[in-house]
Amino acid sequence: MKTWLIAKSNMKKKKSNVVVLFLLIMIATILLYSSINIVKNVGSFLDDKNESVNGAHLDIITSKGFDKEISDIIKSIKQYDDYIKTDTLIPTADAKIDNTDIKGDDETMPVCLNVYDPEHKDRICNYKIIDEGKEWTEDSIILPYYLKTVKGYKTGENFEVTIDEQKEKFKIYGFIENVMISNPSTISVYECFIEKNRFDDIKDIDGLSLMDRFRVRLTDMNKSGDASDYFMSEINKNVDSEQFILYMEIFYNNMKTGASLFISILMAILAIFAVLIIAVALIVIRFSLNMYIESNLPNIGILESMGYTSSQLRMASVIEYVIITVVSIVAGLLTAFGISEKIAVIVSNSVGVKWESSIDAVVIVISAVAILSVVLLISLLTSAKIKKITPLDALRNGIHTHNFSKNHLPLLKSRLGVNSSIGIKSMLRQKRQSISIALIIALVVFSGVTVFTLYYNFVVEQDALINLVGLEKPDIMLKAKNNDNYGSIDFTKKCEKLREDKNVKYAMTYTVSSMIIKNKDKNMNIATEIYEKPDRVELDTLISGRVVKNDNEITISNLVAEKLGVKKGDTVIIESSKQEKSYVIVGITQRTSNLGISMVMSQEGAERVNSKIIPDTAYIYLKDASDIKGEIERIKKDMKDGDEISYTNFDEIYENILSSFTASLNILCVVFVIVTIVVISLIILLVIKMKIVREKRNMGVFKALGFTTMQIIWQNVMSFAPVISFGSLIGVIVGKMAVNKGCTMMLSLCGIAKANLSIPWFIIIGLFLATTVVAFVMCILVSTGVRKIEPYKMITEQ
Amino acid sequence: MDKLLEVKDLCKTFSNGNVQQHVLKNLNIEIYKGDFTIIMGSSGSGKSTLLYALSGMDKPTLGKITYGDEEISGYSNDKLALFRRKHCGFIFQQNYLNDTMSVMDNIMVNGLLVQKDRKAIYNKACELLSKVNIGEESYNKYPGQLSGGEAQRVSIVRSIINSPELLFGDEPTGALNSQNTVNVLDVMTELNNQGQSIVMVTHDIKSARRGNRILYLRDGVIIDELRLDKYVSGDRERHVKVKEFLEKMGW
Ligand SMILES: Nc1ncnc2c1ncn2[C@@H]1O[C@H](COP(=O)(O)OP(=O)(O)O)[C@@H](O)[C@H]1O
Ligand SMILES: [Mg+2]
Repeated sequence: MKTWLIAKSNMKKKKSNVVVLFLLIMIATILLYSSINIVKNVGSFLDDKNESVNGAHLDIITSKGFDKEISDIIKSIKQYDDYIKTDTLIPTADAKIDNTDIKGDDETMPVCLNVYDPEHKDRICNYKIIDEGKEWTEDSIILPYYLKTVKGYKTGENFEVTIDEQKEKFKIYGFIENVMISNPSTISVYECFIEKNRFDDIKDIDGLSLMDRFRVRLTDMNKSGDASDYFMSEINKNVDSEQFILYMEIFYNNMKTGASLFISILMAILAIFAVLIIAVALIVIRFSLNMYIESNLPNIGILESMGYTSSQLRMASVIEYVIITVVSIVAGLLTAFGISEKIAVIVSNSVGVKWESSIDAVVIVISAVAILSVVLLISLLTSAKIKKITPLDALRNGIHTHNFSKNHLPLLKSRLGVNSSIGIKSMLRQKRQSISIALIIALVVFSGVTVFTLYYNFVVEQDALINLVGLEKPDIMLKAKNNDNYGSIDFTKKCEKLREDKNVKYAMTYTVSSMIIKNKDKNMNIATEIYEKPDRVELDTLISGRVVKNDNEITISNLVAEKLGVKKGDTVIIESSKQEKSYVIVGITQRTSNLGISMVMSQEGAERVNSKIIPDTAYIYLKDASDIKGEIERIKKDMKDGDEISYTNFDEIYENILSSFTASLNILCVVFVIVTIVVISLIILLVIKMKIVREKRNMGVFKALGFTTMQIIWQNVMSFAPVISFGSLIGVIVGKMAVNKGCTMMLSLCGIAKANLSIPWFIIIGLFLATTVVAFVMCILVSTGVRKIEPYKMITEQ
Repeated sequence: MDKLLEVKDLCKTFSNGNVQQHVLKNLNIEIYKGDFTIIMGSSGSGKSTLLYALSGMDKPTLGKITYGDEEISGYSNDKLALFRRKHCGFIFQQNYLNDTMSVMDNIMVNGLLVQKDRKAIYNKACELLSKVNIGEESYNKYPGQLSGGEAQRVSIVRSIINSPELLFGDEPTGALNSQNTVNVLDVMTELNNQGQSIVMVTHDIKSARRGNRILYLRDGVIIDELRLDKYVSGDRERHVKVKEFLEKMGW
């Protein structure tokens, strides 16, 4: 009880300290709890969601006419449980969607149209409809939840699908969440459901192709990868036909990881940010404890002389911080629960599935115990000093703790103005405090470099993100409008012609073909990317080795290399249509899209194993890509092939793929800027207020001697601003050196081996200047408090 | 005699909530060059209030204070600061040295307010310090390492480093023991003998008799004054005169 009284009176005396600590720990708790909660629960959350609708574990879309073979293979999967087969419509030409009630939201994105029958619920993927409309009619369409959460679509709005310039009008009836096809960053297609008669009406239009869709349930969802491997190898063994097209083959585990990849990365960043803030809080604790001990030596001495033991006094200090921490953690947790709806929106935007946050007791305990124990540790360590104080020392007004050792910057020698000199003297004298401040600022600025580097690379420039995603990004993509035309258009010739265009930097053919890669007894079926010139591909996903140059070379992704147990330089067998050839692995790549699986070879290389593989796509890279839309129209006119070829603006596709990530990163940057300004402001408020309280008398005497208020403010500024600038400088320098490594490490935890982020100088210089300016302004603002110091009162009030 | 400072109808009123306390009421005085002026009065009579009004440390409620031909009573805070640094020196009851700076820096800080030549200030500080018997070994000490008397003598040096026209003291010996009191008063007397004008508030007769002009403050006005010759030590007669004057005033 006695110690509690002391602690209480201490807290009262240090109000601004208490407030700063409270805010810091509260913010850290919010970030820590929210991020751990999401990272820990997102996996099981998605599992529950998928299981609750009896969701598929394999989702396969193929051309019609092979259902017998395919259903046989599906039934022979070891973990097979159940499957349904439905019709589905897949666009083979340019597909655009547009909510006509919202301006400027139209995007180029394939849709996968399915039948929904309210009378007959599917056994598998028995989706619940969110915001369900009243009447199910021929105009009704059900869209992915992603479009509701990210683009703000609402039930009842008008929705238009344009396939090859033919418009189909619908009314939005509701939304579904499919964990497998949840957002365009994992698989670039929107899964939609329409009415049966309408489906039959439009199935024959040009640019849509009717296909079979198989949705498979397994007895063990964690084995979906094995099931997928088995399925693919069986397909290659048993289905051999020119007509066979495997439009899509996805499995649950990979789609789940893919869907939650970005949010996991974001939350990892938030968690690191929380740790930084805790570090700042600890420094504040250390610093204010030291200050308290120093300035309260007489009181401590008097209490000791009255019979308090030093450990009682020490406990008082520790209890003080424990109380503040507990209160802040509770406030932080309550706030976190309070804003969980807002955070849920971020998660939902990123994942594309409605996130319902629940209160997780384990995470509460983890974050609370983690924060509390470091606070306890630091306050115990710091307060250990009290033990060394004897009553006599203390009553002699702490001669021992005063630093008389060195006179920094004697005014006789200083070349600076008198006020700057006074400021800098005080900065040098309070070495420990200055170092603490510099450290705090350095930490904050360092995390700033991290966040803005991510923002720059993933949102502004996108190159790093594009390389990370691993999809080649030309400016324009050319495809045949109709599947029936497959093979009748010579894309190689087309590219030759395109290369002569004045604004075309380069053009090359591209196609994807399913091949089996074999190493000893292991094999894998891969949708191989076949470029005319792999060395002209702009994407840089190589982790080691080089790109493909010759026709007997391939590059594979690290995931493939791992699965097959091969490395750079090894020779593997590639099988296509029962023909085999050996190839050398010349490089290892990485990607997040297509679930990390990739194999690249040249067109010549593909023809080496299977001469029937012909290119079906052309990629155009423009010299000046500022007006891709206009260029498409121009080139279309020049080439006179608009009737049979669809031109797609690749920028638009990419924007959609990246948008979920971009949106979340935007929020993160805003959070960072706010937290940084708050932290820097709080620290400055704290230290300057303390300085004013501590040196009120000196400042009053300075005024009496004839110093003006501005001069004293300048002294204050000069005793903090250089420290802050210095801390900021250290922060940006360390940031420049370490952020790339740090991010790489973090991303590698998420399975990405290489993330070559560029850290532009303007971020470094901008952050440095911004913190310095903020610090300067804050110093001046807080220091205006000295205006209130009246020389006369200072001297008469004793 | 040259007039340095002139006060006309000075009023100072403090308000504590609803209660108004009129400390100075239409007070008139003149301060002359070369004088060692003493302001006496009982505790709480407003001596400090008067001194701080005279020195431009605080603003009067009403009235006019003229320094030479500058009327300082209407000055802003910053203008007053400029006025103080140019014309005034201060010694307080406490030494109020800045405990975060060395002895020498405490003096230099004040010197640099007025002039830029560090070396000149330093030399002058050394000269003054030796006059008040502070040795070179103390230059880099901190105020906390000095005795009370030493610290007060350092603060005197600080107050006169810019050669102010007027040196103000508010009970500068109030916190010192008798030996230190004598030392400090000797320094001040010596300064006055060399021409330094001084205004000192005290309620101690031993200090009061050092002055050559003693003003007595009561009920917010100067009720009377005593003029003397310059102080010479061991002057019994002077002590009696001062004592009689003070007794007459009701001290
Ligand atoms: N800042 C102030 N606010 C209110 N009252 C004050 C203030 N300063 C002085 N006083 C009052 O004015 C009177 C004179 O004070 P002061 O000049 O300090 O007296 P002295 O120096 O003669 O002892 C006292 O009654 C004191 O309480
Ligand atoms: Mg007084």
